[in-house]
Order: sequence, then C-alpha cells, then structure tokens
Amino acid sequence: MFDIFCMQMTDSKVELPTHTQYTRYNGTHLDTIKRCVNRAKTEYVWVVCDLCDYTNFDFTWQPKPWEAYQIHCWASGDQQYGDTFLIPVDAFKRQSTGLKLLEWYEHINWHADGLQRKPWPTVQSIDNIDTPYAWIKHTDTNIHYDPNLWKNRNLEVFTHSGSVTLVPRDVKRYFSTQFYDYPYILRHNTHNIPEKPLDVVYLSNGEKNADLNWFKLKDLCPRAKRIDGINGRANAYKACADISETPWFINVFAKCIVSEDFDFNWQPDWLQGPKHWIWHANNPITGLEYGHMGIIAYHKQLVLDQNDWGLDFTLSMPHGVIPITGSTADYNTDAYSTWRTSFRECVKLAVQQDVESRYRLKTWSTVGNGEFGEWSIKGASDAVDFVNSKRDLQLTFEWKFCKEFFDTKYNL
Amino acid sequence: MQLEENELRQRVIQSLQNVFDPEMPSVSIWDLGLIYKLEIKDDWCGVEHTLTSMACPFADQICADIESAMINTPGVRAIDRQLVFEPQFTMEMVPEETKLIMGWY
Repeated sequence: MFDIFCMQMTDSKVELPTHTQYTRYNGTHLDTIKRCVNRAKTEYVWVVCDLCDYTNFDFTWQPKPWEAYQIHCWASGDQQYGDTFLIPVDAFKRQSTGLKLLEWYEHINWHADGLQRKPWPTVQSIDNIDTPYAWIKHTDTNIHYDPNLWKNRNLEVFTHSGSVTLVPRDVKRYFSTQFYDYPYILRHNTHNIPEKPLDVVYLSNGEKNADLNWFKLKDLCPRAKRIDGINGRANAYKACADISETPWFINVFAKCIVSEDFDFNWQPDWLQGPKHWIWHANNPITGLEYGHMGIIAYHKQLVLDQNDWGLDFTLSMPHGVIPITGSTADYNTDAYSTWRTSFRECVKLAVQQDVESRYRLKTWSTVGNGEFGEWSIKGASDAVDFVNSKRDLQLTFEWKFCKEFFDTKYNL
Repeated sequence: MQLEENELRQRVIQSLQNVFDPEMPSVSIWDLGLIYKLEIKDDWCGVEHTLTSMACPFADQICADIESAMINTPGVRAIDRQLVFEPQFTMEMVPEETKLIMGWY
C-alpha cells in the first residue's frame, strides 16, 4: 500500500488507514504536497485532507499503466479542484521545481466521483473562524458551496448585500474595519437567496399626526412595530433597538410620511463595518432634500452601545447616506412644532463650516412654503442668533428650554 | 487659434454652469468652485474637479453630468475628466461672487 499523508487543516479527527502520517498544512496544497512527496518512501503517495470524509474511500485504487505519470485528483463535492491526490513521486519531483501552481502540472487526471467535504461551520464573527472557511450568514439558508482551495482563498459572497458569505480564515489578517479590506472577493450571482427583511420600528411620542402616519406605515409595511411615549431621544432609540431582532432596524419617525415606493426589503451592505444608513427626506417647507428627518436604518448594537454623543445622536456614529427620498417631513402642524424643528436643525447647521450646511442654512433662512412656513424661517433665524450668542448648544436638546425660548420671544 | 480656444473655453464654462450637485440645486458646480482646472487644446477639453466631500452620495451622477456637459459642448471632440481631492475643498474655495450671492459670510 502507498504512503498516505493527511494535510491537517482543522483540529477535527478523520477516519484513515492506520499507517497515515499527518502533516501540517503549509499555506497551499502545492507546498504541502511537495513536502509530502519528499518524505514519501513508496512509488506513489496519497495526499489527503482532514476536510473530507474517507469512510468508504478505496485506498487500494491503482492507476492504469498509461496513467502512471499523472496526478490523480478526486473532486471534493462540487469542486473539481479537490483535496485528495494520488501523486507519482518521481514524475512529480521532475516537474516540481518549475511548478508555481499545482494546475501547471502537465498531467492531471480529474476524478469526478469524489468525496464530500465536511460542512463548513457557521460563525457569528471572523474572530471565531478556526477552519479554512466558515459561513457568516445573516439570513436563513441551507446553501452549500465547495470553494477551490488550490488558489488564493476568495471571500465568497452569495447575496447582493453580502448577508451570506463563506469567509476564509485569511480574512482575519487583513480585516481592519470592513470585509472590503480583504483583496480577494468573489461574488456569486446565481444563488438567488431570499434575504431576511430588517425589522421596521415606528417611533412616536405624542406628535400630532403620530397615529395617522402610523396607520399609513402599517398599510405599506404590516410587519412594522411601534415604540410610543418614551421620553428622551437616546432612550427612545435604545427602546427601538431593544425590540429589534435584526442587526439593523429601519426606524421610521412620527414626523415622516413614508413614500409609497419605499423599499422595506432594503438591505445594508453587510461587507462594510457597522454604521447607520440615512435616507433623504423631502422637506415641503424648505424644498430641501437631505437626511434631516429622514428614515434611518440604525445598527442595533451601535445604538445600544452609544452613551456619549454631540449635537446629533446619529451623526456622532459611523453613518452613510442613501440618496433616495424615502419620506416627506411632516412637522408643520403648528407654529411651535414648526419653529422648534427648524431651530434645532439650524443650530446644527450653523456650527458647520462645509458648503452643504451653509447652503441648507441659507435655504432654511429664506424659504418657508406652506402652512406655518414663516415659523420655519423664524426658527432658522433664531438658531443663527443663538449660535452667535455663544450659549450652550446642548440646551437646544431640551424641550423645556425650547418651549421657554419660544414662549418668551413670541408670547403667542 | 487662441481666439477660438478662448471662445471654446467660454462655451465649456457655460456648459459646466448647468451642472448641479443635486443637494444644492441652485448653485452650479462651476460657481461653487468645484472645477479646479479647465484646459482647452484645439478641440480637446480637460477638467480637473473635486466634490464637496469624498463621501458625496451623488458622486457618480455629478461626474457623469460633468462629462456629459463637456462632450456635448459644440466644438469639443475629446475630453479628459479627472476627479481629485487634493487640495481638499473648503468654504474658502467658493468664489467671492458666489459667497456674496448666497450670503455666505
């Protein structure tokens, strides 16, 4: 019987003949095979792998005389470039010096009736990967895929959003903040895996049109949940995060009229790091369209972990913008609500020095369409004066302060 | 030839004054100062421009609109558009005239 070497790629036990020698896997199949061939004492040598199940494999198999110089390779599941080889020792040694890739070997005989790899484990994060590959899945699927282990290990992506990935252990060495730090990413477009929709959470706290906008939302998205009556912005967001069972949740606010074509099946780019995603909202008072009062897909864990923020809860954390209008702002329900919304937003804009903020502030300060539009302009003007007065900007977070400011100034 | 190039340059500027960042639809990218360099050689036009930020969500659209404006300018047959982020765009780069119109002081 020929020598057998087993490439050890995992810690798992595999049933093999008793004379099997075990060898540490050394980067690539080719490097490991070269080492095994140099240690072989028989005319041929079996090189196998602890990823496969050899229970019924015939190690007495011998090549035909005219196949004597060929490497025989048995497929691993659907993967032609398998992990089980019968190597002609002398012939391989003659070619091995010039071989940089195993597939450069002149004669490879492919055996399709191969072996099955053991399934890759499913893990929660890359820190838990201790096999050559592991699944990270954010949606339920029984997908099976046998990657090619002869080459660079690709990060295999099976959904458009990256919610189902087969992740090579090598990613750990490259990962800094996101999967895109890894240079070998292969996207598969043929699997058509339905993705698990994100939770949708509606947040209200006594707004005038809260029930009306809630019923509109339920019509568009029956799975939406509601959080109502939580005082304090951060507490309210954290309550939304608490009831979310998905890693992100789409947060719809009571002052949002959701667009009828809003895509509630939207998925974040799972290959990026944790961040919030902000849709644009149409503001009928100012005519502006940007993230203010927009629907936000919050990253649940970021929200739960956030205990310190500046003027803006969302923008104080990693975030991205989705330049699609997802809703219409619905805040001009009375003079005070209109003024307060404008005042608070314009305080934030007035402390920014970028051109977009200046543009938006100018618009808030000059355009006030529709009912209570003049209160929007007054709010913007008061915000600029407030910022110039060098008072504590955090005061504008307090409803009580805003109300007193408004009542004192306008005495309605 | 110099006269023709000057005329073509003015035409390209006019075209670029019709390209807008969708988030600032009343100020063209030319008037914002996002065009760092405009070169004309015969019927070739080269533009070096930036965006208001590297994370501009409309980057693809703005770049495409600039190319379209350039190539559709009568007299332009070949273009080269380069997106740069050095120097970084700041409020100081907005032309004084635009600041005056917008009240950005």
